[in-house]
Amino acid sequence: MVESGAIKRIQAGDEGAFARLYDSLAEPALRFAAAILGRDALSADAVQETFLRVYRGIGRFDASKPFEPWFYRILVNECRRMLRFRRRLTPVDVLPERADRRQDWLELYEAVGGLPLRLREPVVLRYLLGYRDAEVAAMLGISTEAAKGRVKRARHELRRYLEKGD
Amino acid sequence: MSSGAILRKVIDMNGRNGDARLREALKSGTGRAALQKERVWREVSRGIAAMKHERGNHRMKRRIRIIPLMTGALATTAVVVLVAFFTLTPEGADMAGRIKGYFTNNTAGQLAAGASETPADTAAATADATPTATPQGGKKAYPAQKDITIDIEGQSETVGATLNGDTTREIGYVIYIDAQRYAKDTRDGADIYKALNAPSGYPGVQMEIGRQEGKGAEETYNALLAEAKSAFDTAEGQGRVDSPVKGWSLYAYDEGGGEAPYEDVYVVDNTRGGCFVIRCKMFREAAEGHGARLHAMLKTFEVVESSQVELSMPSLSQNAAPAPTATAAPGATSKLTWDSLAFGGAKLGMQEQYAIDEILKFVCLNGGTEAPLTDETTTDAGGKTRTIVWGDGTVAVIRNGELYSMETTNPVALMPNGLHAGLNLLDFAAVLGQPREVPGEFAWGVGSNDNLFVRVQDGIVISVRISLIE
Repeated sequence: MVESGAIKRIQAGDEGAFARLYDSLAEPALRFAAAILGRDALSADAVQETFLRVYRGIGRFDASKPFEPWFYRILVNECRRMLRFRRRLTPVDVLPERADRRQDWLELYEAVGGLPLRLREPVVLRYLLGYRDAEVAAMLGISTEAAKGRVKRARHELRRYLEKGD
Repeated sequence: MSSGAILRKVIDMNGRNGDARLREALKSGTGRAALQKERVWREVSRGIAAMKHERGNHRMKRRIRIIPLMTGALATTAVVVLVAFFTLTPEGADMAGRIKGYFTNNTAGQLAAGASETPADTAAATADATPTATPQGGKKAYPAQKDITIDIEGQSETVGATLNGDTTREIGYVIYIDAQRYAKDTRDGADIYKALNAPSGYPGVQMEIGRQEGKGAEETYNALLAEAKSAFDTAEGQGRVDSPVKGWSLYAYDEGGGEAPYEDVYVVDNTRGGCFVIRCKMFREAAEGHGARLHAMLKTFEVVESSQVELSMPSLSQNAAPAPTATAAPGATSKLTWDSLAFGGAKLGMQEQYAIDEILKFVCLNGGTEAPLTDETTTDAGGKTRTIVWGDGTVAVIRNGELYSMETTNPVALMPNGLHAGLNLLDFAAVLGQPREVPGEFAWGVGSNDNLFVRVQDGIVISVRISLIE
C-alpha cells in the first residue's frame, strides 16, 4: 500500500519518492494492462501514460485518501481509451513454458482474455492484484454490489468457456 | 477432451481451487509484460523531462504577454480616439465605409449567402420525396414523410421523419425515422437504425427491431428481464406500458461513467402468437438526447398486416453512395455553416496561441505528443505564414496570427456537428448535403467558396481539412 507520506513527498517535489512509487506500482500495473489489452507493447504505453498523468496531476490529489484507487482508475481509463481505438488482439505475448505446463494455465488465461471488458477488469483486479471487492469497486467507479456481481458473472462465464472448450 | 476431464475442469473452477487456478493463469500470462519495467521507466523519465521543459517555455511566454497587457490602457485611449474619428468626422465616415465594404464582400457576404437554407433546397427536397401512396382496395396509406416532435430537457423540437419498416412478411411494421441522424442496416434478421453522429470512442447508439416467432410478448419479456439482470448491473422491469409503444418494457444499465451501456427494451405483440423485440441501445450520457429521439420515433411504430398497407419507402441504406455533383457551384447544395468549421475548441480565425492550445488537447487525447514534428514560418507579400505539423497527422496553418486552416486524420478531433475522420463519406453527406468533387477530394462550402475538404479511401474519410478561403 502506498503511504500518504510518500505522496506528500512527491507533491513537495521529491523526485526520488516518485521513482520509488514507480518501483512499487509499475510491475502490477504492467501485468494488469497486459491482461486487459492482450499486448505487451500496448500495456507499456498504457502504464507509461498513466505514470505521466499521475506526475502531472498529483498536485491535485488529496494525500489523506488511499492512492491506489486513484492510480488504478487512471490506468483503467487509459486501457479503455486504447481499446476504443484498437481492436483487442488474442494474447500471444506470454513466457515460453514447457508444453505440458503451458496448456494448464494458457487456456484459462485466454478464457479471461475472451471475457467482455466489464467482467475482465474486476477479475484481473481481484485475482491478479489481490484487491477486495470494495477496493475493486472504488477503482472502477461502481458500487461494491456491482463489483461482486461482475466477478460472479465472470466466474460463471469462465466455467461455460471451459465446458464448451472441446 | 473426455466428459470426465471437462467435469474435472468445471469442478476445478469452483471454490478455492478455482481461485488459485485463476491467479496462477493471470500471473503466468502477464509475466512477460512485467519485464518491461525498466524500459517504461526510461520513457516516463523522458516524458517528465519534456514536461519540465514545456513548463519553462510557458513561463517565458507568459512574461512576454504581460508587457502588451501593461500597455492596454494606452491602447484603449487610442481606440476611443479612432472611434471618434470614424464616427464624428466626414473623412472618417468615408474611410470606415470603404473598410466595411472590403470585409462585407469577402466574409460577411459569404456568411449571408451560406447561412440561410434557400427555399429552392427545401422545395427540391419536398419534390424528391416519395409521393403519398394512393389507397387501393381499402388499404391503409402511410405518407412518405411526417413531422415528429421530440422533447429534450423540457425543450420541444420538430424534425422531419421518413417512413421505414418491414412489410416483407405477413405481419410487418412501419416506423418513421429521422434520416438526418439515423441510418438503417440489417443484421441477423433484425433491422438496426444506427445513429450517424455518436461521438467516437463511445459505444454506438442504435435501435434494433427484431422478431420472436412462436413466443408471446409476456413470456418473451420475462425471459429478456432475466437475461438483463444477468448481463447488467441493474435491470428493472416496467411491466405493461402504453407509451411509446403498447407492450412490455424494461430498462437496464451498467454503473460507471457516462460511457457505461444503457438499454431500453420493448416487447410488442405481433397478433400472430409472436412478438417484436425492440432494443434501444446507447450509453448513459446519451440517454437524454438520443433516448428522447428514439422514444419519439418509437411512438410512430405500428404493427401492420402487410397485405393491408400501401406504402413506398425511400431507402435509408448506407450502401447507396452519394452522386457527387461535379458541375455544381461551391456551396450550392451545402449545409455547412461557419460555426462548424472547427475541430474541438480550435476554430478558424482564432488567435494563434489559443488555437494551438486547443489543437494540443485533441492531439494528446489521441496519444500524440505535444511537440510538433515540424514548425516552419515563411514571409511573403501576404504576411507571415506558420505551418505546424504534429505526429498524429494534424496540420495547422496560421496566417498573420490567426488560424487559417487545419487538416487532421485524428478521429478524436470532432467538428461541432460530430463529424470526424474515420466516418463514412455517407455520414458527411447525411449532415452536410451532397459534396462537390474537386481534384482528389470532396468539398463543401459555406458560401461561394469551398471550406471543408475530405479525402476518401474505400468510402471512408481518411482526412478532413477546413479552411477560411480557397
